[in-house]
Amino acid sequence: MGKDVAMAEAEAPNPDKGDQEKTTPEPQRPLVVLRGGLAVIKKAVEQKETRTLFGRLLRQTAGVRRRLTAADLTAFLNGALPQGSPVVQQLVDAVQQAGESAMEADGAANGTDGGAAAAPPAEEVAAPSGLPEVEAYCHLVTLMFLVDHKQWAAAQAVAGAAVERLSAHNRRTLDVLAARIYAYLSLAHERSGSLAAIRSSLLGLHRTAVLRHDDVGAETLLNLLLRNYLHYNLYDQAERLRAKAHRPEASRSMQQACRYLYYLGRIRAVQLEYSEAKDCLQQAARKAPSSAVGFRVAVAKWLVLVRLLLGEVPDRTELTAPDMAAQLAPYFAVAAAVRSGDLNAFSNVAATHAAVFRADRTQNLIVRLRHNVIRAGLRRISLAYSRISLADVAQRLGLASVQDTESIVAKAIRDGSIEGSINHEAGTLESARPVDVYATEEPASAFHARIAFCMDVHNEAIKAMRYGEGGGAVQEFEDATALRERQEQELQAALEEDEDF
Amino acid sequence: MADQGEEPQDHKLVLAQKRFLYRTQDVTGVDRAQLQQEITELVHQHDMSAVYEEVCSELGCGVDTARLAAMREANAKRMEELAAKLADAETNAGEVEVRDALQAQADYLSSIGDHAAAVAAYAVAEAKTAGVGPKMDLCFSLIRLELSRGDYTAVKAGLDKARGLCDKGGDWERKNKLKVYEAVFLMATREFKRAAELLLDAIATFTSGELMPYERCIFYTVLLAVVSLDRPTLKSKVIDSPEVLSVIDVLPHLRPFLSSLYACQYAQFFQAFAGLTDAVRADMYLHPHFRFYMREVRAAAYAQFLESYKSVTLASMAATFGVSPDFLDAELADFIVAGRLPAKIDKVAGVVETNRPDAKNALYQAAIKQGDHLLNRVQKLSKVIDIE
Repeated sequence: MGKDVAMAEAEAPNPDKGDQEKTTPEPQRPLVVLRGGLAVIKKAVEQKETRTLFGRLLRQTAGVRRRLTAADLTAFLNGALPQGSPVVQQLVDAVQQAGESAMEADGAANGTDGGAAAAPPAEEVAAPSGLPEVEAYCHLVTLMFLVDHKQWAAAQAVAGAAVERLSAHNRRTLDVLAARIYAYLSLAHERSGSLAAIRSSLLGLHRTAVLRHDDVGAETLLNLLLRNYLHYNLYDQAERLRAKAHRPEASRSMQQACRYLYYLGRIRAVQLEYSEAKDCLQQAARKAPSSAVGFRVAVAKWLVLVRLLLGEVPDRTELTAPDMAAQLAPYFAVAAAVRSGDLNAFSNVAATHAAVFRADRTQNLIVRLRHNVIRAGLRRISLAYSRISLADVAQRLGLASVQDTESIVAKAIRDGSIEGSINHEAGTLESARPVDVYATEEPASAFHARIAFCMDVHNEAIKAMRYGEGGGAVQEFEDATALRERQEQELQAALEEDEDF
Repeated sequence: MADQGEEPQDHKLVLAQKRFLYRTQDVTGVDRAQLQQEITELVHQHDMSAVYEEVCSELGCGVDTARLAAMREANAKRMEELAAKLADAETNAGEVEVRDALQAQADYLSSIGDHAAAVAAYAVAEAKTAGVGPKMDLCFSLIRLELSRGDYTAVKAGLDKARGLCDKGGDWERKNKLKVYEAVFLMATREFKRAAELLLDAIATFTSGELMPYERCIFYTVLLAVVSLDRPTLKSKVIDSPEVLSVIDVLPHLRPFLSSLYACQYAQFFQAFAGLTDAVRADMYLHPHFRFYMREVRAAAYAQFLESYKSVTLASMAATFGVSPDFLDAELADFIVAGRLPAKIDKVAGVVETNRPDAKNALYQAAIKQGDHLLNRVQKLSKVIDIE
């Protein structure tokens, strides 16, 4: 799926890159950016900084990734790594090979690039460095290049070699780069169809990461393992791993957190726990960056099905958002069929789009929806008819036997999805007359609960105002305006987060 | 009123309607050969070289290169004439003549269907135009061009601009014109109620002959009013309106359609409606909304019928409407579930019973639902407060 690619894309719209492109009239040459990255790495290692500097490095790299050519990359590799390092030859070979096959495709583009590069500004040629981080970065950039050119076998080889060399070190500064390398390893194997082969090594790496308190690595590897299991439909094993595996409390990366929620949602959905699944998938959808279209489409598909299984009809606007509408079209059709309660229409839709559903691995959920279709149809009937014979019900629902219909209706009444009663001798379904709710105590208790909630909120707010932060005394007057402004900004932010309304 | 001195309809719109008729499959009674001839004649008559090739590929007939060259020549010649006039006006005459020459150029470009050039020319002409009225006229011309191409996003933009200009100080005539243009746009985007209101306002002082002939305007007014207005308004504004009465007999089925609904003669109403469906399908603005419109009309009819009954047998209701009981049953069930009809069917006894909504219960449900909505938001906000 395009999610890993989306991961890099997601980091691209970023103030750093934006500044880069605004200050330079033409985009920076990839080679310059890569060499600049080396300086960043050195600084990061000196300061033993693991988060922000590497984050910036990865974003810069993502920005130039598309324009990277084989020539650029070879030059960079030769410049960055010390001569005679066993790694250099391997990487350069892989790059050359990939570059050749891509040369015909990119011929024109390369030509113009070369032309423009005729008069480059004076670049500092970075001294080759023996730092393992630099090596890891070179591996990473090579992997990105190979993946972009779809050289899966070469990518597998390079990634494997990288992992081996990484396992020799135990440096926290390597964590971020290592996590990315693992992700590309998994991607390369997935595209070549050999995911099962790396499962044990991923498990070993995960264990090591947890032992070393390597949070980023542990998170990434857990997600990769879950993806691995789900790829082969091993939901049980995935759940067992997820339950037992140690997860760091605070997630280091929003994208990994989103992925985790998505996998968790899928597991729960298959395990028939639809409300939890819906929660997880909704959170994943909310947290996903807006540029990760592939991910959002995948989450949307599962979310639609889970909501249908829960009996609620998803909003039409969700399924017709412009950038996702085309891929969600089969699911739109499914939702329409379920809502109309028409079994024939539903079977048609399921048959027409069967290929799509199988590719998305949602086929078994679709099969479970048949029951919901019948329920929806029954609900429509009980709304429209005050009394109807069971034979008519069977005919409208498209069910064969009247006996079956009676038992289905009975179960629906017992579950509370329709209100009514079956008159067995007459063979009819009678809907309950709408009861005057004010004759019962229901309004009183409903209003009471809500009023109590409002009063609670009111009291809490007053206490918060009166006692200020940390239970101290009332704020001093000079701070009042600043405090009020800050509060208003927070409220504004909270209101804007409200995407539901 | 609008009978004397009415402008002929803008040929671009005539052409658009004919092309629409040609390419739409499900319209009955269409003589394609005749249409083809009419379309090609129209294109030749106005030298619309820019759209000639497009039209030919649509009609499936070959491009007559000789005619095309002749048309292009005619275009070029006319453009030269207009450019000469413009140059002359710039040197000899004053601002007003310059502006007129620019407008003539823009109008000619739009009449031959050259969209990009026309848009640019209109922009130039507008820059030179003083006075809100003439500016609005240019706006309207541009909107007509966009309408003939079916580009409703551009139409919307044009309407917004026109509305802004009108607010700055448009005269009555232009205001009315704007109403008609807006109504057409709303009709094409399925906002029947607002379109009906605007059209009702505008038919008394109809001057937009270039957009549509007067009868067509009345046709749209009646159609939209039937589905969106309530009975008293329908009677006073449409049935008794002199403008409608003067023209209503010109169009087939329209008078029975209107009067039988008001007189509660449902069998006739459905018959007249069946006759009108062809006309609705053949109209380029209403065609996409055909099924929606049909549904709305039927819902209005059933709702009106059921208002006077507490319970009625399916058989007698079906007889009144002139349809079979099974068909009626399916229709009613559909509308009841959609919430359009406050009734319930007792299939065993074959009776439809209406249940007027109990205001108190409905209000209670609404209050709970909206209250919960609000409380959710309050809860989200309270989290912010408590965090401090």
